Amino acid sequence: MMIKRLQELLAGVPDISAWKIIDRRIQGQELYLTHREVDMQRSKDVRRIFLTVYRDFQEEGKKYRGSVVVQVHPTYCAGEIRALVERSLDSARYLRNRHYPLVQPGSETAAMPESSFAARPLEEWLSPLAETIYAQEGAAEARINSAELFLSRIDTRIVNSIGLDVSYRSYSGYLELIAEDGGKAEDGGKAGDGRKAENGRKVHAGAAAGEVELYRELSFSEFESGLLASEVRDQLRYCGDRAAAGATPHLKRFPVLITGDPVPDFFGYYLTQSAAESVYSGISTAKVGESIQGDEVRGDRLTLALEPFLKNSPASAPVDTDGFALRTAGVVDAGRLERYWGPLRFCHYLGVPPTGAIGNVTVSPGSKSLEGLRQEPHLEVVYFSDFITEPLTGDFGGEIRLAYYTDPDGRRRPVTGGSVSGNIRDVQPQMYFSRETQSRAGFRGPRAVLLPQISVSGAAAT
Amino acid sequence: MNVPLSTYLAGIKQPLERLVEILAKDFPYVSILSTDSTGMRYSVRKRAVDARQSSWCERGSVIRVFDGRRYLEYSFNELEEDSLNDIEPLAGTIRERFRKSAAVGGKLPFAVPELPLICEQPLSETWQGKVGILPEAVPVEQTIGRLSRLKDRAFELSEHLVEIEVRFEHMRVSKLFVSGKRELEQSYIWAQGYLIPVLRRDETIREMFASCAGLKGLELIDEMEAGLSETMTIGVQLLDAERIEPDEYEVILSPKIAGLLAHESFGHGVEMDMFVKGRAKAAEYLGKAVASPMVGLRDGARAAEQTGSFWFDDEGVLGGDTLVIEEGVFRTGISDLISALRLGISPTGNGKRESFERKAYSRMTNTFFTAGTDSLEDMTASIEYGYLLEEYLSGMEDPKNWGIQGQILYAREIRDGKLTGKLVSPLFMFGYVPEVLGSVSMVSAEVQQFGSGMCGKGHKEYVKNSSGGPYIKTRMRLG
Repeated sequence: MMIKRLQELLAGVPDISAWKIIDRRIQGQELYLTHREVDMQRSKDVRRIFLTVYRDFQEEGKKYRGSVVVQVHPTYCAGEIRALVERSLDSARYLRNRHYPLVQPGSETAAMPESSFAARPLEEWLSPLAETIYAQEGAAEARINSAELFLSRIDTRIVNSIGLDVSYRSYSGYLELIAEDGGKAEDGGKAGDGRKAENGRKVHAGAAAGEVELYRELSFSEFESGLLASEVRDQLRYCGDRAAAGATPHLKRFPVLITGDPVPDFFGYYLTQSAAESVYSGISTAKVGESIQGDEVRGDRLTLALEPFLKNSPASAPVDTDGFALRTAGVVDAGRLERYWGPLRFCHYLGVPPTGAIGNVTVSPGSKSLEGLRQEPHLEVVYFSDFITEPLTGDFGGEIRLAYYTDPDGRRRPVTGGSVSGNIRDVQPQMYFSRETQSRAGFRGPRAVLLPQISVSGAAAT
Repeated sequence: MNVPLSTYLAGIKQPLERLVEILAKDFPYVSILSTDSTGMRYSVRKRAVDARQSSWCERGSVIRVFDGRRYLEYSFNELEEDSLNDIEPLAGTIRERFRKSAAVGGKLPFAVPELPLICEQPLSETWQGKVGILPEAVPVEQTIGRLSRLKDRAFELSEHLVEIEVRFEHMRVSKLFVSGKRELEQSYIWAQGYLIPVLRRDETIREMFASCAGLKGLELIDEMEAGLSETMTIGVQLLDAERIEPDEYEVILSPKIAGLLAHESFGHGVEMDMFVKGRAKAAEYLGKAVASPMVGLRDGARAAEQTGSFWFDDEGVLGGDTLVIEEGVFRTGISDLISALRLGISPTGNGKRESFERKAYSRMTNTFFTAGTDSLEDMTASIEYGYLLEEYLSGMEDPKNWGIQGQILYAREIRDGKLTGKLVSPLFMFGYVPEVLGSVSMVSAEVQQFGSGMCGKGHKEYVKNSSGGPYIKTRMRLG
């Protein structure tokens, strides 16, 4: 009803050249747990309507399209909407952007695979999800400190002024899980009382002793109890290892194996470099047909694609936010850039076929097994405080919350504290991806990436 | 001028009061927070200009009830006109929703602890902020024109500039809180501006970042204009920046980095919902020394005039001014209302929500180290070999284990008591909170506040706040 009223109102606006509406209805259930007690329950029922108004104009023979995006709250009255549209159109005539088309109706849109969450009302999933999570306690000494569980059903409809009208339903699950361990410090010390590292030096940031915790967030769109259980068990095990970890040695430059959540972030650099918007704005110089991985690749070559649908990914969708029908798009093949990717607007500017803005990334597995990658002395980081990859410059790094150090004698032990840092352009000629794969929110690809000789700052004072 | 109040909130105030009255027959405590926050974000780049409503915009309500044992919440943003005239059907729908939630909770294999009832003192008040130039009072053409001229000037300043984003965002925040005993309304404005140039020379590419923010309107663009030249100068210098040799150094933290340290060390570390969960190491240190006697730290919506300021929080508690660390001793934490109930303490006015759609947590407002008596010149002169850390990109807390991580955009080298002109970039600073704060040996006299960032709890629940401090000399590991 609201959309129909909005369409009727827009039809009567004189200066509007085109418009697009994204209408999302979100029903959500939230459960907040501390240890085995319910902290709070919340639910929500909200509607978010985003309107884009377009205004075309010409200056010195050039055709421009200005656009403004506004949120039309469901409680706006007709007068408020009219004023908002008029203000937006007034703004749009000062936004000198090259003209670009809207998505045409009629493209065949793939059907959104139905989620297992569709089988029952949302609130009925809270119990099986929470039970699966807490059933993993006991598998390790660590336990669950707290959990926040969100589950949403999202109905999306995208309509534009040239007849496009597409709808789909998706589900989004999110878990924030804190694991804790009482600690088993070798010297019986407590956090912060100045434990000694193995080399006798004073321990700094994060050297574990006493109680420790590990933070983890998981996104999902299916009830996959086996996968959820395995992720929780891993976190509890890692938390126990953090409690027993010594200080990361000062390794200066050393091979580093990054695993788990940071891996998708790491590959995000190549997404930015190959994005039509980056190329159009001049911040990327990547060229189709050329190597995106540098000139002399001696390690694994990157193969990267975008997938509209990835099992258990909340980012899966049949269309992007323009309503553009999405298909699998190969972007990098064996290190060579195959195509630029992006929404209709920026692909149109570059004169290349659009892929749409696709939410899932796949990276092909590498040439070596995890065990193979672990053969030489290395530092395997499984948890960072916050792993950061700067997609523009390629700088990456983060503080280590848990890593496993394999020393030159082949001994492997958990360590914590210190940091790693480097630049993708320096490591890309000689990086290796694991043959084993992982699935994360919006990502399927290698479980680990081995980076040669990057900077490792230890947690022990010099 | 005064920031106008929301006419929408004024229009729904009476129906909401009636809704509270009806629901109060079934629930010992009922409150409603309604929001109507509007604003725009303008972004000018070399080849694209964008205008969109700020992502901080919201209009909706959250109802909280106490069912005699626990607190339940429901967020919604559809309110038919008929409902405003006859609120009974809506009350029935909400009652049914809470009944369902309670039933789901009852089936969970977890205990539901019995919480105390919220006791409020009666209060009815309205607050309006002040602003220099109301953004909507100026034609958009002028605003975009000023931002475009900034972009053009930037390209005149360096041949190495590849792209620049000149971004300006303004928000008018309007909130109404209604409960059995309280009726509070507030409206205020904040704005923030960013200059993000990207420079390239041969194969080297660098991104600079500068920002400003405040309880201001369009007058903030004056600050952006004044800062452009320095931003571009540093951006060009970054092209020659080197990597730092990882080690522990004597460092001077700029007021911005001091703010990051305040935020990540004893800001997140004393959010008292973490005390309830047993996630805060600080809980063991109440009344104990946690820092050098030179260190003082405050937090509060009324402790400073910045983007973390407000009159009442998202639970109807008046904003405060909390002395967290006094002469190196940890005095008290910052708390939301329900955590305070569970801990048996008074709330400090730190209950904040990302929006009406989200839960309230203990959150920082304006967090900053207090002033000392030293000068930056003396601090620099006292360092044989170290760094002045000037600008950061992000930070991460670790309240349980008292680690901190900061991603620093650049630092200036100090040798023999003087800045050498050499920059290192990018780098990480990290440390163990009591050691970093315990090593503070000099503190400058002037405190600065910065409010252009946003703060997450873990990796979600983003809210506006500010942080700051004076220049601080300490020791930290850099890598």
